[in-house]
Formats: sequence, structure tokens, C-alpha cells
Amino acid sequence: MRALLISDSLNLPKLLSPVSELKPSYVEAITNADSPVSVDRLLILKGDITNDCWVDVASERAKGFDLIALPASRDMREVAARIAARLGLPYVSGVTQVSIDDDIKASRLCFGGRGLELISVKLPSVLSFDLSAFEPSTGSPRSKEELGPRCDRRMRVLERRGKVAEVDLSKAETIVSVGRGLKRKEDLEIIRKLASLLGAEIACTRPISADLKWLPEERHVGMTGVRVRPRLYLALGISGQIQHVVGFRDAETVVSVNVDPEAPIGEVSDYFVIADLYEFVPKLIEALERK
Amino acid sequence: MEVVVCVKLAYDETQIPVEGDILLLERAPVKVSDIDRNAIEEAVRIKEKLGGTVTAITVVTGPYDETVLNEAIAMGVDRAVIVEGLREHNPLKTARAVAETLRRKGIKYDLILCGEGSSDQYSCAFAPALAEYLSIPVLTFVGKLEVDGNCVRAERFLETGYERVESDLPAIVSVTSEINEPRIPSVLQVMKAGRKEKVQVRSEELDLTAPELKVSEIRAYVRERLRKKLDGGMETALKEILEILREKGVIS
Ligand SMILES: Cc1cc2nc3c(=O)[nH]c(=O)nc-3n(C[C@H](O)[C@H](O)[C@H](O)COP(=O)(O)OP(=O)(O)OC[C@H]3O[C@@H](n4cnc5c(N)ncnc54)[C@H](O)[C@@H]3O)c2cc1C
Repeated sequence: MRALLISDSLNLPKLLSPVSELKPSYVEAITNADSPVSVDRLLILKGDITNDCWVDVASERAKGFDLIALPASRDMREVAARIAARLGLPYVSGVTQVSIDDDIKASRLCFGGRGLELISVKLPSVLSFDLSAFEPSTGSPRSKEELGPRCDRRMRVLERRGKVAEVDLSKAETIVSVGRGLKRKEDLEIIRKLASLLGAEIACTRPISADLKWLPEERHVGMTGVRVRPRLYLALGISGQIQHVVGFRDAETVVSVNVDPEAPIGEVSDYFVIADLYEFVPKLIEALERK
Repeated sequence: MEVVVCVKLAYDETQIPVEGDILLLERAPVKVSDIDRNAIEEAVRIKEKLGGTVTAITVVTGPYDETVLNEAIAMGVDRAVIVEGLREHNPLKTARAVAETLRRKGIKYDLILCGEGSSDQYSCAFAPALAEYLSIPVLTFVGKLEVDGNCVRAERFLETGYERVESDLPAIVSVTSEINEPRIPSVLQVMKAGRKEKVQVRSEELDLTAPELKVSEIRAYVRERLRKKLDGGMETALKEILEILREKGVIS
């Protein structure tokens, strides 16, 4: 089986993990900067690479490959679907697990994380992987080449406001997560204080990062964000909608604090404190400081 | 401005009963896929500003309920096109069905809108695939949109930051839920929506060559928790939480 990986350089080492498990005979990767991965051939695209470029370059190279693998990031979900449509290949998105006999068998979440779907597809096919459960697989490429592609730019990029990712929450042991129960951005201070006392990382629900922009996107937990697996997940002022809940499904213990005794978070917590977080958190901080 | 908005009807995932590891889909209500409502809202706002019409297209691949579709139409859609006869969840095939319907029915479009992903499968593959089949630009995960003459300018919301982009029209745009707050139509508007033009298309009329996927199984992905309520007052709760923190090795 010949595999072609298409990924930004940061996600590439993680993407190689699930693909390696399929024991490919030859692996080539197309990326945008040098990356410590053990592949047969690493192609580094130089210059300003837009999604149109990724699609053009990858579709050109894809002939003769059985599996085309990408991360399920937002950009790469677009790129993956376009390559599949352009080449007439089947596409499965957000794959969490994969195996191969004659066909590819892939699982992925559905219904906001309430269900797990098992899908089979014939090779060649395109798969995008949910990388939150995979460890990076590092090494060094057997050969390397730089390419300066000329692409048809249907979409023009005017400006990029990047942020360097602060954390990889998928590794955190303890997480303090906040939802819309938090009333003002300034109140993040008490959450920060609590997190530092617990040696925890801060996470949030999608409205906190995407709507209110109080925290960066990589701290949003759930179906469209990160999936975490800490020993302890402390959910403060979070209602417990399934799209968020799926993100901490693999936490060992879940403690939640909510004023509403009927909040669905109660059903998916080990311990459910019915309290106002503005009363509970300062008290908890006090108790921790007293020790 | 001729705006086409693509709408999916889906089982309401928040109300799917679970028995063991089985999802009882047939007992779940049907809804308009959440982020498609943001797409409809955006389409209607563009029409309100620039004039023109809004055509909604739905390809039925799973559950269908006419009153639910009427709720979508009541937000300000002028006519609806319903493609029936498909059974599988395969976004590439759905995109092919829409591309074919637009072509065969001579439906004009300057802008095609849809949600970033559906609330059931969330593949986010429909808009990109449709763009390939129609050979037009695609802007995905758009949280801010502005139509300016023959051009769209948008802000894409990505994990790694924001990207301001533009493209010529016609184009296809997938929107995120942050783009707007969808209006909720009144009961009267929903009733009136039932009388709006509806065009039925059978999938057999269309050329639907697209690669196949086979879903062999769906099972529940829930995890049992202790569900212990700590409602015996603040002090007791605090004590218990400190105990748990210690047990978990978070504090010593
Ligand atoms: C396709 C799709 C994908 C999505 N993906 C994600 C995702 O990946 N991650 C995600 O998080 N969301 C996601 N969402 C959104 C999700 O459905 C919910 O809207 C969101 O998780 C709710 O966030 P919340 O719990 O912070 O807010 P709310 O639902 O508004 O809940 C706030 C909670 O705080 C409680 N509260 C209020 N005041 C206090 C107080 N003083 N003390 C204690 N408790 C208080 C309230 O009782 C309430 O339960 C997605 C939605 C869709 C449609």
C-alpha cells in the first residue's frame, strides 16, 4: 500500500502515526516546512500556500497512491474533500481509528459525538484523521525535495492574523474548563488562579472562544475543538451539550459545577456540585491556599 | 443577487434515545441542521440588503419532515427545491446531486451558502466538493461575510487564527455558527411558508456518479459516569471535592 500524506508541518508527525499502523510499503508527504518525520520522501512546498495550492499540488501527485491522508483540521478538511471530488475517490472525514483488510475500515464520530460510525471504503481513498488521540511519530525523511508550486488562486488571501498555539490540551493531566456560566472576561482571573493552584490547564466551550473570543481556539474542547483525556476535568458553568461532552469523554473523572440542578452536565459527570461558580470557586481557592 | 442556500434535515442529536449501545434514531425528532440555519439567515440578510431571491435546496438523504422544512423556508426563503431518492450519507454524492439539480433546472446563482458542517456527520465536505463539481471558488469556515459588487470578502475562522480572503462571484461559502444569530419565524410565518413554491426533483433524473461509502454500523458512544449529586451545601461539597482532588493526585 502506498500512502500520500498532505499536512502542514506541525500536524505531520501525528498524522504519520495512524498511517504507519497500516504498514504502508511507501510513504510520501507533502508539507509546508521541514518536519522530523520518517517518510520515504518529503516534499516541502515553498511560498504562500493557499488551500487552492494544496489541492492543485496534491491532486497532481496523488496518482498511483492507495491512501491519501490528511489531518482533520479546518483547512485540511476542505483540501481533502476537494481532492476526493476532483479525483473521484471516496472520502471519510474525522477518522478516529482505521484498519485495513481488503477495504479500509474507518470509525468516526457522528451525531455530535453521541454515536460512533463504522465505514468501509475501497482503496484508493482519501481520509482525514482526528489527530487528538495520536502521538507524534518522529524520525527523519529518507529524501527531501523543495517545490515552488505555481497555483491557480481562486481565493485570494488578503491578511492572516495568526496566533501561535499556546498549548496542546490533549496532553493535559488536569483541566479546568469554563462555559458561559462565566459572566465577564475579567472573571477569567479567578479561573486562572484556580488553575495555577491545581497545576491545571484552562479549557472552554466553543462560545467562549469562538463567539466571545475570551480564550484562543485551541482551548475549546469538543467535537469541533480538541478532545482531551485528563485524569480530572473540572467543568465550571457548562451546560453539557453533546458537542462539548464528547471532547472529555475519555477523562478519568469529571467534576462539574452548575447552578441549574437540571443541567445535562449532571448526567455526564462523576460529581455534580449544584452551586454558583462565583461562590464555589473563591471558596475552593481559599481552601487550597489554606493548605 | 441570486442566493442559493443548501439545507440538510437531520435527526436532533440532543434528543436521540439510547438503549445500551444502540441509538434509537427513529424515535428522535427531525430538525434543520444547526449551522444551516446560520446559512439561511445570512442568505436572507443579503437579499434584504441587495435584493434578489433566495432558493433553498435540500437533498433528502435521511429523515424528512415537511413542517421542519417549512420552518427553514419561513426564515425568508422564496422557493425550495427538494431532491428525493437518495439514501446514504455521502457528502460527495449530495454535492453532485446539488450541482446536477442547479444545472438541469437552470437555477441561477451568484452565491451559494451552506453551514460549515452538518450536525449529524460534520464532514465539512459538501461545500468543497460542490465547488469542485461547479468549478467555482470556495471559502470555508467563514465567520464574517460581505458581498461587494462582483466580489465576496470574508473572514475565515481557523484553529490557528483568522484569514481575510476574497474571491469573485459566483462562489460557494460555508459559514460558521458565529456569523449571525438565526431568526426564529413565527407560527404564522411557518404556516405561510407551506404555500411557497416547492420544486420536487427525483434523484433518478440526475447523473449521480460519485464514489461509494458504506456505513456498516452506528453505535452509541457514551460513557457511564457516577452521576453523584453534591447538593448538601457548600461546605460538604468543598470537602468532597478536596478529597477527590487528593485521590486523583491533583493536590497533595
Ligand atoms: C455542529 C456544532 C458543533 C459544535 N461543537 C462544539 C464544540 O466542539 N465544543 C463546544 O463546547 N460546543 C460546541 N458546539 C456548541 C454546543 O452545542 C453548545 O452550544 C455549547 O457547548 C454550550 O456552551 P456553554 O455550556 O458554555 O453555554 P450554555 O449552554 O449557555 O451553558 C451555560 C451554563 O452555565 C450555567 N451557569 C450560568 N451561570 C452560572 C453560575 N454563576 N455558576 C454556575 N453555573 C452557571 C447555566 O446553568 C448553563 O448550564 C457545537 C455546536 C454545533 C451545532
